Amino acid sequence: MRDILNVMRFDFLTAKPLAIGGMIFTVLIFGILSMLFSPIIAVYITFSSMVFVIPLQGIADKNGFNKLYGILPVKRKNITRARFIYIFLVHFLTELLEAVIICIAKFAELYKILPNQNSETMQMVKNSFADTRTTLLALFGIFTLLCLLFAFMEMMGQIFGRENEFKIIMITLGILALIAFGFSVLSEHDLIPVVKLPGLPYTVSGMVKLGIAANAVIFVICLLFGEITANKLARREL
Amino acid sequence: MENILEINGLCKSYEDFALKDVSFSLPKGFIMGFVGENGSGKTTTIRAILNMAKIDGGKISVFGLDSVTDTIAVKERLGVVFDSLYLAEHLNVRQIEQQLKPFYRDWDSGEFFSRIREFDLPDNRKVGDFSKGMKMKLMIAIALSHKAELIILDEPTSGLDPVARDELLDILAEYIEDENRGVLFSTHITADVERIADYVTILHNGRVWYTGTKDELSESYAVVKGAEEDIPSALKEKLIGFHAYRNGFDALIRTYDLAGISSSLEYEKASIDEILVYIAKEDKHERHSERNAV
Repeated sequence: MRDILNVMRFDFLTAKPLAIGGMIFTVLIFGILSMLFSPIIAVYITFSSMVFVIPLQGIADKNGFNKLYGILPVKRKNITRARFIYIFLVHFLTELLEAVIICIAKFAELYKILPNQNSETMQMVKNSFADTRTTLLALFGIFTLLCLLFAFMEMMGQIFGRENEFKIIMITLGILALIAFGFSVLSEHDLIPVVKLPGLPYTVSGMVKLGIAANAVIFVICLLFGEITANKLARREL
Repeated sequence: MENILEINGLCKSYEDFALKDVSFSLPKGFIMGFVGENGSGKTTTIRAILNMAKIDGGKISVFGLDSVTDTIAVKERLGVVFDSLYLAEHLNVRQIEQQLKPFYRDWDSGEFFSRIREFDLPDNRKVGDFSKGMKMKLMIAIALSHKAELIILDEPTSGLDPVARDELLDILAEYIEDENRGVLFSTHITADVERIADYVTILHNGRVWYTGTKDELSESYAVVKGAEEDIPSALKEKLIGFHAYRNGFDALIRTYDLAGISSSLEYEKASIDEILVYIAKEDKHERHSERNAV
């Protein structure tokens, strides 16, 4: 565990000088916008978490980190595992930050200082402040999608090589588009019954429980991806 | 004498290259020059010691520990300097220290910064902007800060200017003053080995050609020169890297084969550089003969 924490700290310190400025800028911009116009805007901050993940492999390749990994007193599998937990943690902490901003935005109700309080637009703003359920749905949904995407890309990139990353993205998107197209065609011609997903919770507390469950599932998936990747890479030489 | 590093029967095959039965040992308190032409297997051997390359056969012991099963314990006590920097170039020395210190139980930040000052390295400049000599010193400072008992250097002096090379060699000489440490120093700049090494291992085509003390090596080989017709036929077979030219020949010879040599032939002690050159010539000659035979 100590090894994994050390490698995560190493990754964070590697990305920090390049990422921190962009992160602070994004948090400030989207934080202010969410306080004034809609708490749901805070969810966009999730996209900034990628600045803590994307540069890592490029830096590692450019600076010969494989040599460093070879001399550090750390098990190689733990170096790989740590990267996946790091990806989860970066997204999770961003999600927590967004949740805090959303809470502050809802309690501060800064939209009240805006002019034209009776306009139609302001009505929409007020509604968005009242609709906590949709905000939470967006928060957990974006977190789930992005964290899953990054963990998946990390696994594919490490196993099949970064040079194939673009190909992998295209193939994955192609398969998803094909499945969606197939479903839409089949349902349009009444060849398959309309699939009804189980209803999402209507209460805020229900949505929070769903979010906690989503976080737990994504954490387990990240661990799983990490284990698969670590086992594959352990057979290769540094 | 206790060995700090022991390699026995190391074998490792790649598609186009193989290490064959590599064996040598380095006693505590000494510097070993690990020499050989490019592609002779020096880096592969070092990668095997670091467990970065999976070995096909043999055994490597560092501090008496197995380099594969005890790799973590070995790396805690091992410092490595590669030919190029292995750190994030956008970070400065302080940030690098923060990154590396949690990995080593014996990391001493005071020692690290005192070495940084001693080596005149700026602690607020990106390490990517450092000169090659400065990068080498930084890697040595890292090795010294976790109290490495064995430092392995892979071609550290290639590309360094003479002043930086001299400084690096001085640092290694000082490091070895504590007789419980060791240095394995891979290079093809043999002048560096002549200057500081106590032991020499010569690797050629993936095999150990010589391993032993530097003094023994220089006593064991000589370069012989003269007219080709003065070479006794019995001696001709013993010449290594025989090279005939218009006015005569030169070749490497074991000193014990010099007994009874004709006075018309001149000979002098061979330098490590000359030994490497003649080994390569011999190899080329053998390949040439094999091709002709085919």
